[in-house]
Amino acid sequence: MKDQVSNSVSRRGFLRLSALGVGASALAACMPVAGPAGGDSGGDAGMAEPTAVSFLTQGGSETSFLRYEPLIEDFQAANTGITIDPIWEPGGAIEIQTKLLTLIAAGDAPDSYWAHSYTNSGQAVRNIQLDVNPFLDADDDISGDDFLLAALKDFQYEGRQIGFPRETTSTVIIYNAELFDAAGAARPADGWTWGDFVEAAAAMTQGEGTDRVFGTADWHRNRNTWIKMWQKGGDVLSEDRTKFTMNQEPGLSQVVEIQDWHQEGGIHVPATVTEAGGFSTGDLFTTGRIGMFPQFSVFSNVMSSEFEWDIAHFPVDEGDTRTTRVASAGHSLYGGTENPDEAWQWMKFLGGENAFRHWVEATGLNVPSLKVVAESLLETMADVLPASAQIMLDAFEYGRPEPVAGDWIGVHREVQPALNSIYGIEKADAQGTLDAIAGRVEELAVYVPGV
Amino acid sequence: MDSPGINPVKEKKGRGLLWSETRDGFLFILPWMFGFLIFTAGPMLASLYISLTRWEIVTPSVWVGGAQYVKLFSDDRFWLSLYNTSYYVFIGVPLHLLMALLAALAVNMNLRGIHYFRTAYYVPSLTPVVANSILWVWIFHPSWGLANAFLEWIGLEGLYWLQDPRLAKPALIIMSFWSIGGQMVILLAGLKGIPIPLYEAAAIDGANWWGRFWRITLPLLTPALFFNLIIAIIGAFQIFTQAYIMTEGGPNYSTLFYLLYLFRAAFENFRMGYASAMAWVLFIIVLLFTIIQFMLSDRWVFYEGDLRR
Amino acid sequence: MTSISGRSALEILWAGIWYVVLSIFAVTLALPLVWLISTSLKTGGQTFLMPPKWIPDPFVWSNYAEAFKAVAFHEYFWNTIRIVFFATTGTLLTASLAAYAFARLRFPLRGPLFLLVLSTIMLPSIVTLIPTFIVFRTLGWIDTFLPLIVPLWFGGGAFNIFLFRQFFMTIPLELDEAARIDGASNFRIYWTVILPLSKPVLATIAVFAFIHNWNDFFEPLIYLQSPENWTMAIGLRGFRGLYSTEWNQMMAASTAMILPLLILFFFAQRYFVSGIQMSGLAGR
Repeated sequence: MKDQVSNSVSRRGFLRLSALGVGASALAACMPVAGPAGGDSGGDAGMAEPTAVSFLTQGGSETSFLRYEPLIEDFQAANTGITIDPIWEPGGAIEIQTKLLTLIAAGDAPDSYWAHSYTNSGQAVRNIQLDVNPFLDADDDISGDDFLLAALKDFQYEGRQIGFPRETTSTVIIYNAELFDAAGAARPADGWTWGDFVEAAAAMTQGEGTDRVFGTADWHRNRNTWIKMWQKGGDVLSEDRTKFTMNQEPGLSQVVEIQDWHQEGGIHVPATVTEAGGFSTGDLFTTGRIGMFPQFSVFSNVMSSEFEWDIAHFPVDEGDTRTTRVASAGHSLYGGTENPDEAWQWMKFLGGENAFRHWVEATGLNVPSLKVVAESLLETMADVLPASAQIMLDAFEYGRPEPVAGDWIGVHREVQPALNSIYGIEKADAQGTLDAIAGRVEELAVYVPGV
Repeated sequence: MDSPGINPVKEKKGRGLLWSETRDGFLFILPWMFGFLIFTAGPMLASLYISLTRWEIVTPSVWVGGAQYVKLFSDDRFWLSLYNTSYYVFIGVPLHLLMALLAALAVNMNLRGIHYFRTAYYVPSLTPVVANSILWVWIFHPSWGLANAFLEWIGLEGLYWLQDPRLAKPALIIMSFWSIGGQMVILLAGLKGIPIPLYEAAAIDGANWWGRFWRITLPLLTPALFFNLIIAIIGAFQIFTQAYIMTEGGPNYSTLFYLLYLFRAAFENFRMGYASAMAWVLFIIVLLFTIIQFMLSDRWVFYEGDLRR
Repeated sequence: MTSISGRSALEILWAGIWYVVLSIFAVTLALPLVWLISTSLKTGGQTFLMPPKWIPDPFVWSNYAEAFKAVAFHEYFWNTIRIVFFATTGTLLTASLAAYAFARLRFPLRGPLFLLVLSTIMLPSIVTLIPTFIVFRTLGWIDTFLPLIVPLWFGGGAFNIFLFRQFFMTIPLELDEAARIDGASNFRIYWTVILPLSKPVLATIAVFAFIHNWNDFFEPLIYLQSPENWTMAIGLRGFRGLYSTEWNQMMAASTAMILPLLILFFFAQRYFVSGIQMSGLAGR
């Protein structure tokens, strides 16, 4: 409240000032149409004001507004003492983080905000999110067990619960069934091996130039290379998250194998082709030029395919640890919030069944991280999901989040260019290239900010 | 350049400073000074202060003196980003200027319908930067792009434009040729300001096209050229969006430009102190360049209404 | 430079050659835009066909309707117009004022002050983002149009001051001297002698400022928080989804955003060429 009063005073003061020089009428004309609800009206301090909980989230397209606007109305109707002030930001995880940091530094931090596993780690290292474990323990209405475990883990950092996941994804193999059949390859079945995978990919690869059909794609992305490493017991970092281990066995030979797919075998779409902005692997797949590729379980980019397609588990060899990657977006509370109780009510609401049911209806295909809704998704969305959609849910059983540590975005920024050099037209040596980034990755992974 | 009669002001002895002129001078720049003090000076000084601290935006800032600046010198990514940016500046800016000059001369001709060409040459500069960046990713696409379709049409091999570390920067420079419109319009306004009687006089003296261009057009265009040069250098040192959207700094860091690295330090890795130090180093570099350009400009930029001291 | 005398066969031939050369460049430069428009009329599946399809088949005009349905573009139009109008007006008035001083008046520290003007665009705005946000927050201007307009009424930006200065400096000083002898004040010289002679640069800066503010998304994105206050450039970013982007809709919206600018430029350019009158006044 104090802020609002001083704001309106300074604005009035400014208007008076500006009247001297540049014409207040012009300025008055550029005041906005309408301030946000409960914004700058000021002065009506008589009634008991509801507590405002600000909420920074994605907005821009009608669909993205639809994700939260009805929920805000429902929540406010059920909690008359709380209003939600949304701050919409059209952009992804980095843009949201930029806005979040600006608002925090300006003393305008939002009480709650949209969060992504990509940015969670850097924020958690600096204690930005409120640990909601105390609320979770004290509240009987909601439990961590309600969520898909792998997704919930995505919002945990060193024992703290730094938020709840909303939508989540497991990585599965998407395949073009007709290409498999045409090549005489057996379609992926439960228990298929990497040998089967490579054989099928080679069988499907044919043609030249722009018409060439490739057996597979997208393994050049660090997230997919990592899954293959995890299966063979390798990882990005050592268990204590202090050493970079991609340049050691068993991880290294996985990188070398994927490099072979690109170069020797030629069964993989050149990394250079799909790494270019607007063109995505999905576009290649829908036009029948890719046999199969790993992707997180969002299918909007391949849905327009006019051939039979489906999803499959990752191949597993004997002795492999069955693994896939789980990544999530969700909501966090700001650690410095002045209204933690009200913010928790809002967060609990966003973690409840009603909210998840709304999202399934309003946004379609993202996997809800709330178990009960995720399971019913297969029925409600049956007409748009692939035939074996159950697989993407089963994959959560053995899925895991990335081994986030320290400034994890920085680790991504180091590993991906190195992999591009190895897989791409430079054909860089895997060992040497990965050795070269080890020092930097370790520095980023163990980073503890100074006070 | 010193053709007689063009520059009568030069021979005139400069007047001394007048109180009324001083007063009016400050009055005229008063709105700017006011705006500078309120909106700009504070944030600039704040960032200078931040550059002397370790500040992670959400943690309290700690005074570290010049430590961030010292750290810069041993950061090879810093040097790489400075190299990439310098490449873009020193190769891109002169070529860009030359193209703009040629375009301006072309659309300055007295031909019927020339204004359609002017519009056509300016149009690429109107495209919103995000849409434009995506369009160019498509154009440079190794398999389906127009750039390679053209190369193959004239019988050459296609190239990996944005995927080859050796080609990514040249590709971005080529792309920048499509946005010469702004510079072209400024040069065109300059060309249109050249008094026609000067050309007539030169024609009577028997000067050919080249002579007229060299003795009249170019000298009288130098203020506009100088403006374009200064602004282009300041802008090119701060190239960001193309790399942010199109290449993400790759391949193999070949488009890791100064501002991209700075942005990542600030808002991905929370090193605002470090980013601020980088910003001030860039500030000093660009400022020095600008000062040198202004000093050199005495030799080649010609102002009809110059106030010589 | 065509001569004033009548046209010979040779000149007609030359003109023909010039038209061909100019057209080749025009087509080359327009290619990205043609592709933009073509993409805006394609089905999603046609976007990435090879060889590229220049002429959409069928023409999907509904992309435009879909685009405006997906992002409330039309609602952002009036916000954009208001911001652009007031920002451009402020720029023209105050930038030319400051430039007049730097170009034609002598006062102590003129050189260093001008360098200070230029220095404001040398520091990357990434590191001044937070402090600047705090300034506008202290003023209570967050989520209003004021941060996008008021600073331009106080100087109009270094780019514009510099451009005005460069053109003012090409105007012969005798004009000022003559007016001064007649007893004109500096403001009067600025208003009745310099500005009327500066139509080309006024038109140029007006067009530049208009286009810049029209397309700018960085600042509006930071200061405008409620969608009621958003501009079209912010809306354009709404097309980029978390997992995929409807390129044809985004290109449709981009085309819609470019069209008014195209018309503006086409009609404004006649003022770029109005500088010819100067020769008469210069009295040569």
